[in-house]
Amino acid sequence: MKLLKLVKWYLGFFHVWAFSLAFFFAYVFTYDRFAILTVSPSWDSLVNSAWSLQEPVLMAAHAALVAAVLFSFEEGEGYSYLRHLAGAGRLQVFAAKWLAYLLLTAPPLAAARSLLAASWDYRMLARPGFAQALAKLLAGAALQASYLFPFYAFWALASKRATYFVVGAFLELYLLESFWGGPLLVYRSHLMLLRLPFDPALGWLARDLGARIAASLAHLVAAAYLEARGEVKWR
Amino acid sequence: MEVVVAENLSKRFGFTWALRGVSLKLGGGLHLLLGPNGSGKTTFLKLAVGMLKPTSGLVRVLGLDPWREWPELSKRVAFAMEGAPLPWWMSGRSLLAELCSMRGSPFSGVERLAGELGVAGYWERPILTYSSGMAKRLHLLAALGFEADLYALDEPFTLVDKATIAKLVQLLEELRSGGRTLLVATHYLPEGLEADTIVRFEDGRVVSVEKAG
Repeated sequence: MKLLKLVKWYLGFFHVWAFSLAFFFAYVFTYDRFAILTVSPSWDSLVNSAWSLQEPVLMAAHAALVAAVLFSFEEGEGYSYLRHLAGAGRLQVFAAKWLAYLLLTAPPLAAARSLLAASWDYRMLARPGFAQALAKLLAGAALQASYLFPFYAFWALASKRATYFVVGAFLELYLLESFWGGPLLVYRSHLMLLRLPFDPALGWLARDLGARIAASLAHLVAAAYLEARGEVKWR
Repeated sequence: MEVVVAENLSKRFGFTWALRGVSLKLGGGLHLLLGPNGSGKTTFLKLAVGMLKPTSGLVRVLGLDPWREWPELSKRVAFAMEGAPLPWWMSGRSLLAELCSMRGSPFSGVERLAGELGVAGYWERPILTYSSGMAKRLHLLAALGFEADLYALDEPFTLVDKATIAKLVQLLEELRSGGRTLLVATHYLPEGLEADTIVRFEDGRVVSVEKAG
C-alpha cells in the first residue's frame, strides 16, 4: 500500500511531468509515419514500426532526465528528507522509483505513435488488434526503459546535476568532439535496442556495448585529463 | 533509560571529517546541541534519525539502529531539517496531507498545529510563493505535527519571528512535559527555553556536556 502511495508521490513530481509532456511532443514532431511505406504495408506497422531516426536518442534523453529527477534531485536537493518524513524504507523507495519511471517513460512514446496512427486513419482505433499492438508497444518501451534504468540511475547518482549537461550533449550532435562527446559513442547501442525491442538485441548488446562504454569512459577520462592539464603551447 | 546512545561515532564526507569519535548518552527530555556553523550538530542529528550512514562507530536511538532499522524507527521519530528544499509546485497543505497518508498519521494533529504556528493562513498556496520564514514554519509543522517519541529539530529558531519563537518554546516545553525527547541543534538560545542537557560541539567533536541542576 505504501509502495503505491510512493509511486503516486513520484508521479506527482512536476519536473518529470514537464519532461514527459515535452518528450511526447518531441516524439510527435520527429515521428516519420511515411517510413511505414518502406518498412511494411500492414496496418499495425503504423504503431509498431513507423519510427524516426531521432526517436531512440529522444527516448534515451527522456529516460536520462526522468532518472535524473528521481535520483539526483532527491540526493542533492533534499528529497531524501521528504522520503524520510514519509517513513519509507530505501528498497521500497527504489522500487517505487522504478515503477514511476516505467510509467513516465513508456506511455509518451506509445501515446505519440498512437496519436499519429489515428491521425493517419482514425478507424484504426476501432480495429480489434489495435489494443493488442498498443500493449505490445508499451511493453516493448517499458522493456527498453528497464534496460536504460540502472545505467541512468547510476549516472544520476554519480554525476548529480551534470546529467543535464550530458543530456544536452546527447541532443547537440555537433558536440561529438567536445568534453561530453564520449557518451555519444553509446548512441548506436541505444538506437539498436530501442528500434528492435523484441529482437535478440541483448546478444548484440553483450557483444558490442561493453566496448562502446569502455571507449566512452576512456574518452571522458582523456578529456578530463586534458581539461585539468590546460592548454599546451607547442613550440 | 537512554534514548540516544553514540559510541565513537564518526562521519566523513569525502576528505572532510564532519564528526569525529563522538560518544554521548542522552535520556528523555530536551537536549540542546550548541556550536558554531560546521561544528557537527546537524550531522549528528542526521545520523541519529537515520538520514546518514555512520562512517564508523555506533548510534542507537530508542534502542534501534537508525540506518538499518529505519522503517521501525520512522514511526517514532520526527525531524525538521534546516533548509531542505520542498516540492515547490505543491501547496503546503497537500504536501502535509500526502506525508500524513504515507506515514499513516492522522491529519488532525497537523491541522491543529497549523493554526497555532500560523501556517494555516497560507498553506493553501503553492510552496513556490512562500518566504523563507513561511517555509521554515512549514518544515517545523512537518515534524511537530506528527506523533513521535523523539523530535529532532535543526535550527528551529532561525528565520522565524519573535512570536513564532515564543510559540515554539511553549510547544517544546509541552512536548517535554508530555514525556517526549527533543534534540534541538541551534546556535541561538531563546529566552525561557530550559534544557535538560546542553551538548557543545566544536570542530566535529563534543567538547562539553552540561546537565541541568
